[in-house]
Amino acid sequence: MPETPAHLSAESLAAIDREIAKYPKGKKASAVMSALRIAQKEKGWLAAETIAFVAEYLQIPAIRAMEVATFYNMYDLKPVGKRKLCLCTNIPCALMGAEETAAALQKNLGIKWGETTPDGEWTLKEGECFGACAGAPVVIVNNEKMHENITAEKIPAFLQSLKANNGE
Amino acid sequence: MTRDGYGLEYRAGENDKSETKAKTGAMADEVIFAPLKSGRDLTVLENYRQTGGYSALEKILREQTPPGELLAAVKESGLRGRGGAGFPTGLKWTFIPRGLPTEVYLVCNSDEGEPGTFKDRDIMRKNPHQLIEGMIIAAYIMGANAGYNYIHGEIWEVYELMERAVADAEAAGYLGEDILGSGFSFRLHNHHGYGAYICGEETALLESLEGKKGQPRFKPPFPASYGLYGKPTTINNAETFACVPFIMREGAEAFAEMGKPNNGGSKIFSVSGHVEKPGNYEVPLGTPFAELLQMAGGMRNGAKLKAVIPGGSSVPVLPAEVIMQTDMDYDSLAKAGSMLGAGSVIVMDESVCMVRALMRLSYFYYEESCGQCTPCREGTGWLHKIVRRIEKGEGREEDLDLLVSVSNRIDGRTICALGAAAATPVRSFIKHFRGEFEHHIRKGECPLDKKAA
Amino acid sequence: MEISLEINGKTARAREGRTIMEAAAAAGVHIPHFCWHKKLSIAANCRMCLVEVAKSPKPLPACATPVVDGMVVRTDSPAAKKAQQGVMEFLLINHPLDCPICDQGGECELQDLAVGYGISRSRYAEEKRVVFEKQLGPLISTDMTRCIHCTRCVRFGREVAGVMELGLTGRGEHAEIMPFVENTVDSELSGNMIDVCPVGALTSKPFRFSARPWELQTKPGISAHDSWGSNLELHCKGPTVMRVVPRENEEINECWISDRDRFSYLALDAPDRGKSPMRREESSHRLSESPWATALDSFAETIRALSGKYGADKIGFLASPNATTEELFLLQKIARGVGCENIDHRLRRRDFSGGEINGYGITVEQMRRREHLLLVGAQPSAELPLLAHLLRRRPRRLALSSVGAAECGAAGNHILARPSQWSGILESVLRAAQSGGGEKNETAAAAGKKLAGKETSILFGGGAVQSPHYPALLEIARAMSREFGATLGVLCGGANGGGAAKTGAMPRAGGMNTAEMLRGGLRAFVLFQCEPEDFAERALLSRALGEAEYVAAIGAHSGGLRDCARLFLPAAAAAETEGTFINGEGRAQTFAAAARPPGLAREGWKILRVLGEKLGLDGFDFSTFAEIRPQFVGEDFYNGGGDGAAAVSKKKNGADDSGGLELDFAPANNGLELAFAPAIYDADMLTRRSPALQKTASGKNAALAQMHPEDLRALGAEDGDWIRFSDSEGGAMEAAAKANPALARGVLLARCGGLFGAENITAEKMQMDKAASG
Repeated sequence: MPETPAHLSAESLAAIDREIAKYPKGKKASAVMSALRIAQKEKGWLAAETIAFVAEYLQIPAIRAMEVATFYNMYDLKPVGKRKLCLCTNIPCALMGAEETAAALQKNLGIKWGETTPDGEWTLKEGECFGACAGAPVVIVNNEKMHENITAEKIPAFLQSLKANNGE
Repeated sequence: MTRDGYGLEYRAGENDKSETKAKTGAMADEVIFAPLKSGRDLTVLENYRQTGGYSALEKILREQTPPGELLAAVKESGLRGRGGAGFPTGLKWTFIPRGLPTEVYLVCNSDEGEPGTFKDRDIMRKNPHQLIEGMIIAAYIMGANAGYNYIHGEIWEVYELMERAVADAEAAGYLGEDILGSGFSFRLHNHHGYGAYICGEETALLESLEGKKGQPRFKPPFPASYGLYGKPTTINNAETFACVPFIMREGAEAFAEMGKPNNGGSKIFSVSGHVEKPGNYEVPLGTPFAELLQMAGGMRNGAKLKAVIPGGSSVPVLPAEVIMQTDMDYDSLAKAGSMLGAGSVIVMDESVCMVRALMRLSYFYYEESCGQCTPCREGTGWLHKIVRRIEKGEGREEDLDLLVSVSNRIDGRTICALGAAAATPVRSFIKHFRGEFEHHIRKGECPLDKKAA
Repeated sequence: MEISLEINGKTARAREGRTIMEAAAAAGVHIPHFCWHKKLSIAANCRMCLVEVAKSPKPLPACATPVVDGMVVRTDSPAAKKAQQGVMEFLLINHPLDCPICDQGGECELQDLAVGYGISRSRYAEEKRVVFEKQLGPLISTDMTRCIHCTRCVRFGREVAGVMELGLTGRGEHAEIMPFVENTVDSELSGNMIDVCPVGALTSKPFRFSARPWELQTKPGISAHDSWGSNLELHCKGPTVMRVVPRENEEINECWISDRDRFSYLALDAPDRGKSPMRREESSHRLSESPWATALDSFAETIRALSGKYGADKIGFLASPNATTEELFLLQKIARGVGCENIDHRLRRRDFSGGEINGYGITVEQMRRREHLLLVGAQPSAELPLLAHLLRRRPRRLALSSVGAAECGAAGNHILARPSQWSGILESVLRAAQSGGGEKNETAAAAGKKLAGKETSILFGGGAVQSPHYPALLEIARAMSREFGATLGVLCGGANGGGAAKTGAMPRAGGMNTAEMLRGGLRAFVLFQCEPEDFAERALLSRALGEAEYVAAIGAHSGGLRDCARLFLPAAAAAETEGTFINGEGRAQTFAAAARPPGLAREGWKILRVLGEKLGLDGFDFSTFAEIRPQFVGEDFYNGGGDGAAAVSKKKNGADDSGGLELDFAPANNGLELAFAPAIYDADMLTRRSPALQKTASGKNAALAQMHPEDLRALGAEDGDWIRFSDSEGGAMEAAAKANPALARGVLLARCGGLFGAENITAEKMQMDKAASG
């Protein structure tokens, strides 16, 4: 494949190859979810060119990869901030104060759902049940790190610690 | 990272129920969470082994137990699918054709996304090898040589943990070619979701595994004849598989006796919402709700119970007076007008506005509808928009009848059960809390706001 | 096995495995539906076909539910109706209900069913969804707010067109049909998406807002672009063709047509459409309008005079293979009447020494079932779009060509090589088939093993037939035929190659074929419905025409011959005349005129009849179309699919098609070879003049010189650079370059405008300033 800005790093491609190996011969397409996730991690978000690159790598039509990228909501089809916070506001979290957490997040960061702070540091997203309701309200940072019991009063300290620990 | 553990913090008290046990006299943590009583970190394979883990598998492979015998044990145990449908597991496994020259796949559904459900996450992060052992035994029974564990994308750390657990099991010779020299081979891989509730539906999950959108397939054909890559496939919930090593080790009878007739075994209940100690409680099926509530520390701040959704957001809500008289098993909950579902118990106290609660739930189904069939794609949005209007104080007198009518036009007319799942809360909330809805419509405000003021 | 079930109280029988929808249709019961389409996979997503089935607690979709013995189905019970009406309500809540301004109005499946199943008042009081339009190219218009998400278009692309260009992105209420980013829909069958769309979401762009369905008269027609013989329906308003859609014929085109069948009607009023006879006086440099009588008289006089002066054998008659059988019959009758044997319709051919094959040698139905198809030099997606569709559905085919596997419908079973290498490869394949392997060329060995002992049909495409190596290829193919009973056929015979051969529109003993005519120093040419772009040796033709004393052209368009013709007689195009086409199978299909020729243009057979009369020839004293046929129809005229139809049936072996045979033979170092693949929208006078087709990606590519990216790089050139090509015979041409990785190395795919030779072509990148001025 020609070198374009959408080209993924050797490490990413190796990671995708490991995913491809999980599936039977000729079923490369099964790795599309992993491949898009790996691509997103490298590029920060999924530009159309990145999706096309992944599709070509897996030998599937680009529109089919686009279908997948738009169907699953952890893929970011627009640039996001350095830290993407996704708060569950579904019933179990709402019962434990997720609405207040949401208000506190929006107030502290000065952005609404789906927005990114002008300095490119933070993005806020509303999530659906993460499957960790005992720890409600739950926040996921950058799709990977789960934080539990994030009630409104903890928000200033929570944001501070994320800033200090680079999202971890 | 050290190899003696994955550094996960355990919620204090969750697996130490001596206090509540003493209070209620109930049995707890007998099947899947039993090995945790050892106090060891079971993510370490050797620790799992020392609690008796993998001994059932080793015995089966050593003695080359005929799969039919094992299948009979699963049937006898009364194990029913723990994912929500409650279909008898042994019967399901007989649907897999035997002796065909074709590949058979085994798939574990760990795509836990139903609001209120969080048991599979704890099974995997606290006792991953019991799930793996259960899958290997199931694969042996059905002659499957390849399997996939489809894990909810949002619990990323658990996916990574399972990747390591599978690698450890492979290194120990429990997975791969010619397992323990038995001639039986089984390769297991983890596959992650990435944010689509619908993939918990088994055929949507298969589509997703094939690298497509998770749009459920029309059945028939069922996965047992046309599943992953068109091959015969069995899909079970993680909890279902995790019960299997216990059944093999302790016997089908021991498992069956734990519950009630037709409701055998233990069940993990995920208790969330307004309780003192939200968490997973593994108790025998048939445990009274009142006991379960007590185990979970009772109502938070001593508040009064208003309602419970006993099996995840898709099952009918029950008012306090009904649920307090009900046992937690498939049949009792059905009799009470709801369902056991995945055992996801959402507890709500008197501060909860049922209109607002329904608005959030209806938004969830609207947001998560895959968009494939007409009634669900169009109807879930319609439902949500009406409930939102009522909540905003812009309801109309005819809205409640319209909500019920639209729900009825979705329910039972879609490819998968998401349509019914969207319709059920709407109907049950209106049925049990109609007065609250009418107040919103007639007064344009929430009665609870008034109380608070 | 047949089972018995009850539908609406009546007993019906159906084969096991059939769906309720199929069983009901067979029993004459219509079940409303949108997503179900008999040629596409079952989606069961619209839910409109919900019916009541006894013992089922829920209504079931008729399209996806298999029948079982003893099943009791009600399609019109209160429960079924309630379910159907419920679905209809959901379909309409977000639909714009803009029927008065919708092009689909009057032929909309949603509109029709809403009348039967909808209620007159909407209970939906919330805001409606709005979906942005998509730019899908020059053929398809979108109004995506009207879309009901049935996914027929997506499934059509994936399953029939063979390329997934549209998808359903997003989910839930946000789900939308769209292409990838801003891609257009480019498949050669894309127009069928307009037909499969049950609502007004996808409509014909050229037809848009030009007529209402109830104003249109439907006339049957036959495709005039290729040898498939697709059946058409021409929709006319008065004398004008407004649009073309498929006419179903399960044996030929099923319910599909190619985009050029659908959109070539736009050429009927091209700027150079001939509407009046035109003549050029000796002294003048341009054609000017002339009365019919004068024009016809001048033709007869000139032909008589030139025959007298040089002999009739100094005249050449060249006709399009897309002309009707009746026209070709009359044209050859005129030629032979004046004593001339120089007549041919095989315009895209260089070397005639290898003999003749006409037609496919088998029927389309046989093609579907054949154990193996060996395609040589074919590019089905461009030459025969419906063959490409057929190939996609059958795994057992092997293709040898200079363009990529996808274009040949033979992914994984394809040998990519230059035309000059083909005969060598075929020979290896033959040897491998004879010896059961053992051939040292692995690819050929594998191919040979696949073919050995199989019921095989060898089909030559335009790339082979136009090649100077065609005689050699034919010889090996004949050996294969002798060796294992393979049938032989050509795919590129034109819409009426069969009719042309049978009426004798080709030279007999003593006559010249096309190649000889172009080199024979002829003094006069009569061209029927063709122009230089229709010839393999286009540059040579232009030279021959320039050197001739007299060129008379009879055709629908004057453009390509304006400069050299002395006489132009405007004729009807296929849609405007009655006639008969005999397709590649040997199937004769007679059609009537759908539209009237414009202005003073007349049907070809009428023009030829008068010319024959004016020349004083026998047999031209008839007055109706019906009188022509008895003159040429013999006992055996319409029979048979050519010489290869007698197939040798051999024992079936388990076909193994798992192994791919993609292979790029190393390029020889002696310049470029022409690939001879006619661009899909450069096929004939009509496609060349359809503005919509020319605006498609394939249409735009036709003007470019396509080469393998490596070959282009070797010239130091890239996409868009101008390249000058020259051959050893003094020919030259210039064109903008385009890299095409699907091509074999060393091959040039281009309109071969000024080139005389087909091989040893040298290429040179042109300097920018020169290119700019040129």
